[in-house]
Amino acid sequence: MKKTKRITLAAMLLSVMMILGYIESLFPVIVGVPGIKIGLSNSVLMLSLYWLGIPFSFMLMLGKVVLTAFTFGSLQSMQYALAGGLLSLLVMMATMKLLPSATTIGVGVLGAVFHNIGQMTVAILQLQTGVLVYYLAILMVVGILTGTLTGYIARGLIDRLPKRLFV
Amino acid sequence: MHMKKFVSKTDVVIIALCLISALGIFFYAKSLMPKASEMGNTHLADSPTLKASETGYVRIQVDNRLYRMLPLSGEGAFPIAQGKGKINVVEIKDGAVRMLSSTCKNQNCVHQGKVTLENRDTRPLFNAIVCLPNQVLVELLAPDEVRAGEMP
Repeated sequence: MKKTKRITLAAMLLSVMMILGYIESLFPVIVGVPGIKIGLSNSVLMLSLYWLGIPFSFMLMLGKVVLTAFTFGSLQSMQYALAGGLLSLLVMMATMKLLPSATTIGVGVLGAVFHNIGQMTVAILQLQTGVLVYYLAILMVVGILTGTLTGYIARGLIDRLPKRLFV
Repeated sequence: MHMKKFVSKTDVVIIALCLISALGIFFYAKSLMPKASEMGNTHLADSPTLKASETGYVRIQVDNRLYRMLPLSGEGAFPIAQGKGKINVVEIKDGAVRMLSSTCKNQNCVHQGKVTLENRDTRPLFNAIVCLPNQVLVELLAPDEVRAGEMP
């Protein structure tokens, strides 16, 4: 029964992540400045990391990337999403394991910053232009802000949602 | 999972390290930018097609290859057709370059707006307009930033 519950919860979280990602894509934070989004679905992924653990969270990230690419995006946009998502999740997992004194805010900041690093690395490799290295620095600072926000939201979710009902 | 403080010391260290890395990358990127004096430019007089009065050039790259080099004074709309329905249109008008239209899904390049010689150091993407889906890179260059062999 417990495993069924976990799988059900993972499926629910995945759909929430996809919807959040889709809604965010409709409302750019700053028009004309590409690559900047709040990344609310990362709050949900962090909830999953704390509640469901690494294997489920890995599947959630992969599921979100693949399903979003097929429903709203393309194979080309999937390269960026996958590079960002994979690097971000690996760094968040490592931070939780190695730095237990980091709260969801530290984890969220690293997740956001490394998401941007992953995506921009693909873009820099493809276009090979120094302008994008500059831009990466700007995106990293933005990631600190958005990561703090999503980390704070993740903490609210973890503190307030009744875990025993779900897991 | 009870947290009294908004951030832990570790969080602060993480944020500080990210900020320092961002600064480091920023200045590293700056040092990578070729200085005009080191680029081995063509001298304006060497190129017969060049007007000495030309204030800037628009370099268009597709798939990481030079596609076209246009003078900033040559006003007009320039389509970049790549087949498979991928078409971007670059417009040069009144000393400004912008992506007039693009067949890409996210329309980021269109929203990046105009680049002029005046605003190019203060835009988030500096002198560039980037369309990642169609792999198109448009840059506004000052005459001394144009490399030999790239002249229109």
